[in-house]
Amino acid sequence: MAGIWSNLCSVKSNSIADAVFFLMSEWIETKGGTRISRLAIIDGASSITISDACTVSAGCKLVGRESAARGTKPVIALGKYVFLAANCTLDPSKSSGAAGDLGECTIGNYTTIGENSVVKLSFIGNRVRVGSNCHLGELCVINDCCIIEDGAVVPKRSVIAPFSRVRGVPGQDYVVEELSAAYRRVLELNSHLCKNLE
Amino acid sequence: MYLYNSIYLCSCKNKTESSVAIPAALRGTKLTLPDLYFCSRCLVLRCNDCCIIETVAKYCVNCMTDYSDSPGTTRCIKNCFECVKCSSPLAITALDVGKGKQFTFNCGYCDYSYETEVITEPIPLLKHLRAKADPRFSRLCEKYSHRDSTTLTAQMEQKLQQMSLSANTENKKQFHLNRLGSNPQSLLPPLPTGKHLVAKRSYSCPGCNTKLLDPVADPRLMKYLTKELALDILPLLVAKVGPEELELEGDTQCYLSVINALPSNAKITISTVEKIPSTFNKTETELSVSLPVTSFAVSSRREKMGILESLPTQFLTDATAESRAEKLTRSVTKGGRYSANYEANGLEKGANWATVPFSYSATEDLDCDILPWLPFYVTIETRMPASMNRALTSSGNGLKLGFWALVPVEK
Ligand SMILES: [Zn+2]
Ligand SMILES: [Zn+2]
Ligand SMILES: [Zn+2]
Ligand SMILES: [Zn+2]
Repeated sequence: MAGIWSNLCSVKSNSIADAVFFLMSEWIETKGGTRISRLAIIDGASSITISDACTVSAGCKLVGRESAARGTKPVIALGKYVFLAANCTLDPSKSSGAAGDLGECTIGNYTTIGENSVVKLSFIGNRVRVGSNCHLGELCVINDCCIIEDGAVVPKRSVIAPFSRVRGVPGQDYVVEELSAAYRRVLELNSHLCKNLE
Repeated sequence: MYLYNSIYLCSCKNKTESSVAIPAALRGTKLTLPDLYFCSRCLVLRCNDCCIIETVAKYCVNCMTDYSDSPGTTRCIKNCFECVKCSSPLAITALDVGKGKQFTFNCGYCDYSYETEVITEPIPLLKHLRAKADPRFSRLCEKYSHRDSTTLTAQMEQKLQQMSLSANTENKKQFHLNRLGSNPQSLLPPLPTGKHLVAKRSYSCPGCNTKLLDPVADPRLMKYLTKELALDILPLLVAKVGPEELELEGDTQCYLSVINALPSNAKITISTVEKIPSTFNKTETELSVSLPVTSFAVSSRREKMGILESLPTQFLTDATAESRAEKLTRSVTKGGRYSANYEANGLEKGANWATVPFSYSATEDLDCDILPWLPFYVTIETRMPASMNRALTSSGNGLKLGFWALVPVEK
């Protein structure tokens, strides 16, 4: 397990010195309200940007790039109020190309990723709920206000329109349905509740 | 998902309007509050099934080409292709062969792949693929492409799919519509298809034609010109099972909360039927529910309410400092903000919500890990916000309505 103390990721507008550490707590908490579990595995922290009010739960694995030069775009970027439930993986490595070759994994504001879900290099918009045990393939674009239901598999290179609900596995029961405008608010509230209650 | 898991019955599925018998349709619907609209003229719930639907725009989400002005087109005609086997996007790679190029389509999910011949002229890939298809098939595609995809029956869709499978049979003379795919050995791999377009649709009330949801046509914008959403009007119902120590002689103690969405106070009544059949409660056995408090008031929702303030107490956890603090505030018995909020009958009054205790018991043994769904008939009496009231009735701002909901009892 990568030592989180030695390479705490760069938290936007908060330096490591600002971080408030609670003794006896599982969490490392910043002034901006971001909580990172001591049991999360964060590689290449210098290439990972985490905004305020995020939660990175135990067992989460964020695969960054150790040697990212200063000023370059982050490999993994989390917007505010992003909630990563236990044991989810953000892995922007490219399957084709040289080993260790990384793309980007960008996650918008108020987006929640459920337990055991795997997100490969991809772009996820604001107010998206990815359920538990989902797999988002490489180069996926999930636009704003979408729900990826538990266990869904989003195939490589998919582009999901805003306000969509995705469920199932391609070739079996994969469906993309339209969501009502009401979900913008419902999904934002959901991310707030995840942060406040879990 | 937090809070929005209860199923609400749309007015179109509640033909009998009965408050004493559970409408059978409550079993077949899956719509939650965010899925529904509320017509402020007819003062009824509406859903996608009963609304008048119009396509405002259609576009390819992959290349963002707007196809709104191409009636009949249902697939992207640019280089956006999807797998004929699993509908996943296809990756296209080009290989230089002599003076031409050969293109390979690969599915990112299944093993489907398709290789074109060497193409020497710069023509769009789709055009090339269409030329490869049987000319009769192309004509049929052409014919069907002038219809809206929604008018295609499942059978026709299937037929089209079968035709695209057999479009490349070597012996084209034996191409019979009614004997499609009868000789699979002669099939070449099916041709890639263009990506399905995405539609933006408006939904109008079937009673008064008012638009209840109306998105702007521009595919790049997510704005709506009109949003008449049920979750702005109807109260949210949530049920939580009580702590285990409250289980007495087979009675499971629970809490039902009603969260008010309106900026005005509301009078609520709640009822259910005596015996709830297993077909509704989704357990193996019939249940009976005891509901000691059936009518109460719920305060209005204020602008800028705190996230936890508007949350019933049963949702609060010990996992975060914020939640622990809110829990502590509510447990204060004197001088605290919520001190007077417990009534003798067990009702708890919160900022814009109220919680009533209830219990259920099973007629046969029920595994206590299995939590039921319970139907409730709810009436709400309140004022519509002045900005929203467009009711044709002369009832002023008054709003009185009843609806059925199927509420999951959550842990
Ligand atoms: Zn309806
Ligand atoms: Zn396209
Ligand atoms: Zn495929
Ligand atoms: Zn109407």
